[in-house]
Amino acid sequence: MEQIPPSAASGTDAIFEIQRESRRLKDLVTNSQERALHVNSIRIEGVEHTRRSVVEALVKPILESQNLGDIVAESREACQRLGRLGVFRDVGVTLDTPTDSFGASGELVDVVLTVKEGPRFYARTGADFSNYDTTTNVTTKISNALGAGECLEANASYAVQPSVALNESAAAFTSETGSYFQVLCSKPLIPTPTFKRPNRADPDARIEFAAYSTNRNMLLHMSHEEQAKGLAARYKTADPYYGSHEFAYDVAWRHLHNVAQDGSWSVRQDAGHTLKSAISHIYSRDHRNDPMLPTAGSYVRTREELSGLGGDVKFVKGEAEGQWAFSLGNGFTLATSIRGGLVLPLLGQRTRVNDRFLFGGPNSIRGFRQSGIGPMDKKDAIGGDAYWGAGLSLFTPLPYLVDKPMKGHFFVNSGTLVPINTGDTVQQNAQRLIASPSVSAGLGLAVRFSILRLEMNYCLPLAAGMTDRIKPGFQFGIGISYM
Amino acid sequence: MGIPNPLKKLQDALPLVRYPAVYTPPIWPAEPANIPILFIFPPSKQAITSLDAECVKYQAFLAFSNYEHVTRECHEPEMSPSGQLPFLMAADGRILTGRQIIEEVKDKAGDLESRLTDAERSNLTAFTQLAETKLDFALNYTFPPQLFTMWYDSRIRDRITFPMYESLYPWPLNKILSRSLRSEKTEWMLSRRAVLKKDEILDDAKRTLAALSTLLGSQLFFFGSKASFLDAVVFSYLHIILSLLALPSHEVPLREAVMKHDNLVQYARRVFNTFFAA
Repeated sequence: MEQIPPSAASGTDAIFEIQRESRRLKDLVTNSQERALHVNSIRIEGVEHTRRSVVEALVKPILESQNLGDIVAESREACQRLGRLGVFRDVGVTLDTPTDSFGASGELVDVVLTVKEGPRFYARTGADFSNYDTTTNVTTKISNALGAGECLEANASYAVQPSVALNESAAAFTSETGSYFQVLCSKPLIPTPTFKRPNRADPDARIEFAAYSTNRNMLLHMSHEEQAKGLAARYKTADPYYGSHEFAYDVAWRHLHNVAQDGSWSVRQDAGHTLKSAISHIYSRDHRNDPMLPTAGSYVRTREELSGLGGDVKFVKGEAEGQWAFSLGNGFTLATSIRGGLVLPLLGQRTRVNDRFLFGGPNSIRGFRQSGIGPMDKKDAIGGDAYWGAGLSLFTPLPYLVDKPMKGHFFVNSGTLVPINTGDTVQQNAQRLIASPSVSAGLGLAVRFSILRLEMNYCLPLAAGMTDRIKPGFQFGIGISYM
Repeated sequence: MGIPNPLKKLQDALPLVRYPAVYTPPIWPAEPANIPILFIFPPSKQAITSLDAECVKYQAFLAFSNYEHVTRECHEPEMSPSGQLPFLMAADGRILTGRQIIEEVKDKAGDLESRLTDAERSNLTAFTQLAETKLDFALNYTFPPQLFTMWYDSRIRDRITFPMYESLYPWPLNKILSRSLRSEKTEWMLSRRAVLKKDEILDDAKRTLAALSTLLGSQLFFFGSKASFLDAVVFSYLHIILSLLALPSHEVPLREAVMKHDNLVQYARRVFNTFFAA
C-alpha cells in the first residue's frame, strides 16, 4: 500500500476547502439575489464634460430595482450603456451602505458609478499608400463636443502620384490624383432605457452628418477629373452578430471636367455638372476572424441605392459581395468570394460615366490592369452597368514563417463587366453577362499589415475580351478589400 | 533594349482566349454618320440660331462658307476642349474649337477672304477686333449669355435669362452655377477695364456701331458682295441684340443704339433671311 505524502494530503484538503468556499459564495449570491434591497441613491463620480442629464437618464433604471440581483444586472447594463456613449474610458460600479439612511439600513444601498472620461481632442497625421498613389492625411477629432457623446471630426487628405506607378506603364498624368476634405458630426443614439427583465440590449446606433468635397483625377484609366461636393446624413446601427445597417441620404454636386484633348466621346458627352440626390442602404456582416487575411468565417455586404429624389441623375443601383474562408488544417486556408452589381437608368436616362462600375485590377480580377475589364472607348475605361466576379484562393503556410501573417497564395479569378442595353431583352443582356468571362490565375505572396493586405503575385490571364487590358507577369496589390 | 524575361516563354506558352469586345463605341455620336457636327448652346424654341452670340458667330461662319454640317444642342461648355461653346466635331472625329474651326472650314470649304486685298484684310482684322471687344462687352453688360444681366437688368433676367437657364440644371444647382458664372464674367470684364461704367461701355458700343455702319454703307456685306468672317462676327451680335433684347415693356439702350443705324438692321435681317430662315 502506498503512503500518501502529508504535503499532498494537505494540498487535497486545501483544494476541497477552496471548492467548498466558492460553492458557499455562489450559493450566497444566488440566494441573496432574491433578497429585497432598494437603491437609496446613485452617485456618479468622475464626470467632467459630459452632461449630467445624459448620464442620469442612462442610469435611472437602477432605481427601480427591488432586489440585489436586479441591482447588479441593471448596474452592469447601465455601465454598458455609458460605455456606448463612446466618452468614457472605463466605468466601474461599487455598492455601498448609505451613510444617512432613515429607513432600515439593511434594505438600502448606494450605487456608486466611477467613470473616467477619455481624452477629448485627437489629431492624427499620416501617410498611406494605396494601389496607385500615396496619400497624406490629417484628421482632427473632438469627442464629446456638446456633452452627449457628439463627435466632431475633420479629415483632409491629398494624394499624389508616386514617381513610378507601381509596375504599370507610367503614362503622362499629372501628379495630383485626388484630394478629399470632410467635416463630420456624429452622435450616438441611445434610447431612453427602461427597467425591464430580461432587458434586451438595443443595437448601437449613431446618426451622422457630413459635408465633403473631393477631387479625383481619373487620368490613369480615363481622361478626366471629377469634383464632388456634397452633404450626407447617415443613420448607422452596429450589431456584430446580426450585421450592421446604414441608411443614408446623400446629395452631391458632381463636376466632371478637364477632359483630355484626346479623350473619348463617351467621357466627353458626360462632362459638366450633375446633381445627384440619392438614398442608400448598406448591410454588412463580418464574421471573419481577420478581415485582411481570414482563415475562417464569412463576410457579406450588400448595398442598394436609389438616385433621383430631385437632381438630374436618376438610376437604381445594387451591389452584393460575399466572402467565405475555410480552414483546411495545417495552416492551409481556402477562401472564396463572389461579387456582383447592376445599375439601371430610370425615366429614359442613360447611365453616366461616373455612376457606372469599373472592374479589374489587383484587388478584383488579378492579371488585369486597374479598371482593365469591360467597355472601352479609345483608351478610356468607360465602365459598365452590370458585373460579376468570383475568386478562389488557396493560402498556404510558408516554411519558417508559419506563425507570421504571411502566406503563399494560389488563385483563380474570373469576372466580367458589360453595358446593359435597355433596348434588348433581359435574356440578351443576361447572355452578354455570361458570354465572355475574363479569367486569370497565378500564385504569389500575401502579407497582412494591421489595416491592409499587400500582395505580390505572378499572374497569367487565361481569357480576356479584345479590349480588356491584360497585365501578365508580376503584379503588386495593396488594399483593404480583396476578391 | 529590355532585359530578357525568362518567364516570357511561360506566358507565351499558355493560351489566352480572346473574346470579342463587350462594347463597341458608336462610330459617330449622331446621325447622319460622318457629317461634321457643330455643338451649340440651345436656341430658343422654334429658332435655329443659338441664344449665345459666340455660337451664332460660328453658325453664321459655317453657313457663309457653305460648310456641310449639322448642329446639335449642348449646354455643357465643359464638353468642349477649350471649355467654351461652340465646338466642332470634324468628319475625322477631331474636336475643334475657336481658331481651329476657322482653319478647318477654310481647309475644307475654301477661304472666304481669299479675294480680299491686303488693305481689306487689315481692315477685316481691325473691325473684327473692334466688334469682338466693344460689342461683346456691351452685350455682356446688358445681355449676357452667361447670365451676367442678373446683376444689372432684372427685367431682362426675369424675361430671358431665367427661363433660358433654369431648365438646363436642376434646382438648386442652377442657382449656384449662375452665381459662379456671373462672378466669372464680372472678373473677366474687370480684367479688361478698371471700372465698369454703363455709359462708357454703351458709348464705346455706339462708336463701334457707327464705324461698322459707315463701313457697310449700302453694300451687301462688309467687303462687297460676299461674306467674310467679319460678317459672321457682326451678324452674331446684331442678331442677338435685335432679337433677344426686343422687350415689349421697354427699350434696351443697346438695342436702341443699333436701331439708329438702318443699314445695320436691314443687314441683319437680310443675312438671317438668306442663311437661316427655313
